[in-house]
Amino acid sequence: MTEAPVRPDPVDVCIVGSGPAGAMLGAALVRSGISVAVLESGPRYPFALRPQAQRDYLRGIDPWVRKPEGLDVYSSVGALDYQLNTMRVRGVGGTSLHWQAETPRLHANDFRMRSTYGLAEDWPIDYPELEPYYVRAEHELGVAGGADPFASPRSAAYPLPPLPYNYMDQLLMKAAQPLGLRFSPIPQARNSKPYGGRSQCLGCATCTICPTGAKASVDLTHVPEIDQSTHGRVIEQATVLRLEPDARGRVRRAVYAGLDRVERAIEATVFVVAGGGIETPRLLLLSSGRQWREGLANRSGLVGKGFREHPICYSSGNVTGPSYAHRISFWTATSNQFWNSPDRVHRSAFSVIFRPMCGPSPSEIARTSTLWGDRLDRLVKAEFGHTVTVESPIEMLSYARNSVDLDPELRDYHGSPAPRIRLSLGEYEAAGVRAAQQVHSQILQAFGATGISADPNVGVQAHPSGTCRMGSDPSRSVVDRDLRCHDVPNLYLVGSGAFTTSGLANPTLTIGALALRLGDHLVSASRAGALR
Amino acid sequence: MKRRRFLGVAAVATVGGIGLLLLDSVRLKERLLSTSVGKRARESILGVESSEGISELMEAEEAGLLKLAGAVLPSDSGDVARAVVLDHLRWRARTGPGYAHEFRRALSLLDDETERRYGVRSDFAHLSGPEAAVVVGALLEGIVVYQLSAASRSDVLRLAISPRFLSRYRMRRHVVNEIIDGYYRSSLAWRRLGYRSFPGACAGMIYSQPPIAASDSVAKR
Repeated sequence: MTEAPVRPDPVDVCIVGSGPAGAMLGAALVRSGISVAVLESGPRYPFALRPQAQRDYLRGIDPWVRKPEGLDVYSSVGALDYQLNTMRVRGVGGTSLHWQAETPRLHANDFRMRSTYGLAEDWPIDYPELEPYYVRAEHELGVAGGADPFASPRSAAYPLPPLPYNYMDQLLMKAAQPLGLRFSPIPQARNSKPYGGRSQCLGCATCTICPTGAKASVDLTHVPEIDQSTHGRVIEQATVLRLEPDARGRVRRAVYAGLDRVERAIEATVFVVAGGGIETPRLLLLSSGRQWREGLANRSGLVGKGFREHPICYSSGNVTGPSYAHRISFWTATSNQFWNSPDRVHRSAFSVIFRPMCGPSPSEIARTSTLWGDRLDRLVKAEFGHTVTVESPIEMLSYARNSVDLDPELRDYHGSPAPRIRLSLGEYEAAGVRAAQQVHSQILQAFGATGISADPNVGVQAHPSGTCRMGSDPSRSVVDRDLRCHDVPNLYLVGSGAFTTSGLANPTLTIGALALRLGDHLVSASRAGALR
Repeated sequence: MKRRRFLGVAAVATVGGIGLLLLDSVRLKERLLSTSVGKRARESILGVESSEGISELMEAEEAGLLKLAGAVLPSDSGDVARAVVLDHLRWRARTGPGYAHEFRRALSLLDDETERRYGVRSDFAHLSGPEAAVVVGALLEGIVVYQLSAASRSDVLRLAISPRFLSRYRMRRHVVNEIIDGYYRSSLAWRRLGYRSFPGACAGMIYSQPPIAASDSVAKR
């Protein structure tokens, strides 16, 4: 087989993926003079095109187009149908291009689940060790937040004051107060005031495509720093096909291809895979070879195993007065009261939030009616805005049956086996759903809702994790406390795949904190001459 | 030969699709319709004919669609909302393969109904508002845009054997619903519901305050 031609410009660190993990790490490294190449499978989405993209989005067009479609193939074979392609963006900035930008921290107990609750595993690092990096990540992304009586201690205030509560949330919180429920602002990387050269949030209700840049996305917050550096570059539309070893069992080069399907390669001293909880284990499995028969860094057999998500459950009710729904598309209030209760020994932690876009929209009501003209107008006025939906993200444990592996039949645009996803919930999560829906019912009753119903369907929040777990024991984990693969000394994995447990926190802030911590580790290694 | 084979396959898909839809069990219908064959059968009956491509609307066509919008939307929805609707319909025709064709097909249906009602060869676009409402009412009466798997047997049969019913259904689904979508992108439509503006309008932090009360007088401004 002919070897792919190698770029003539080797770098200190090659990063696979330009989402929050890759971009925040890349920016931290170029800031310290380390040469970096970030390989991104998708294209750039220039900010100047966002207003038009928002207009298209309002007409039902996904602004984060995926061309060619064959890059995003996957299969889902578990009890939960995993709709991967609605959850990710392949582009410079990764999933931060369309994320909701909620940035809570993990709770200190999430790092010591085994010690505290006798469940799962403890992380090899603890909350105090990661806390300074949480602070840095919050400042780099521009997090707006406020006091939460149930959160772990903070060493610094949020860089931005909290976003005001949605009016609907204010009414629901008031109704829930006699129940003893305490709410706080959801921390989010969305500007409550101008910050980082980006606008204040203008409440456009299209957070999937933020036309103002008020919502942080790393194509705006971090990628420019890499682009503008003399020793950093982001190579777009470069899908990494495999990592190839040298004779010493280290990764020698990353082989990638563009839309022309021509293979090229890049050499580096250190490789970091930052492809997310699905694509990172997939790339390791795709990199199997004579030296790594079961996949790269997979001596433990745990690459792709123990796949987790954040399930989410819902309950709705009808109100006679207006619910004031459909005004914004981001969530503003949360109760974290049920995160760390003693019940966590036998059921998932859960939080309580209020869905801003609840009930059918005026357009949905009108489209399915049999009326027209003034009678249609009266129908929409009568039916719109009388639904309230309470939701709960649910904690999930790792199960051996849940996994990401390679589909034996389905292949992508480049001929590589597609990821095959298996996901199902256990009794621990089901108990969490039941407990959460009891709380939903209490809140909805207190709000005066009727026709209260708990949705039997449990969704997921697009937070894949746990597929390359961090741990101290090489037989029970894939990466060590520094995110270095136990089996491959110059290979690091950063992202939610490395999470030992997931708690309830949306993963991106923890991903950013881990990326910054890894950045410090690599800078130290560089200063010690280990990157030469 | 190729054309004959194509027609044969299309006929089998159509008959198969109708057969599927006549099944009693909604759940079974849902499952069958979600298969690739089921999807093809459904789309062959009811989907937009994307092979017809895209095109710009002509002035006369726009006038007809605006007349239709006038009958579908609230009587006092005003020129501003209709301008938003027209902008949406132009965009849809320009970018959505098959939509311009659906719009023309609906206009032809409206013209036929106009002739049937008023006995002269006349454009729907030139009718008075009340006359247009009568024509539109005659075509939309009893048409339900349902999830197809939940369709009643009688509707499925009518879709299958009555070209006129199918045309009325297509007008409701592909033209009237586009008018509705366009209308609810106008701030005026949302003000009628008691909101200050269309939620996609980047209106600032007003979401934290009470919306204004629903008031038709505001809508008339």
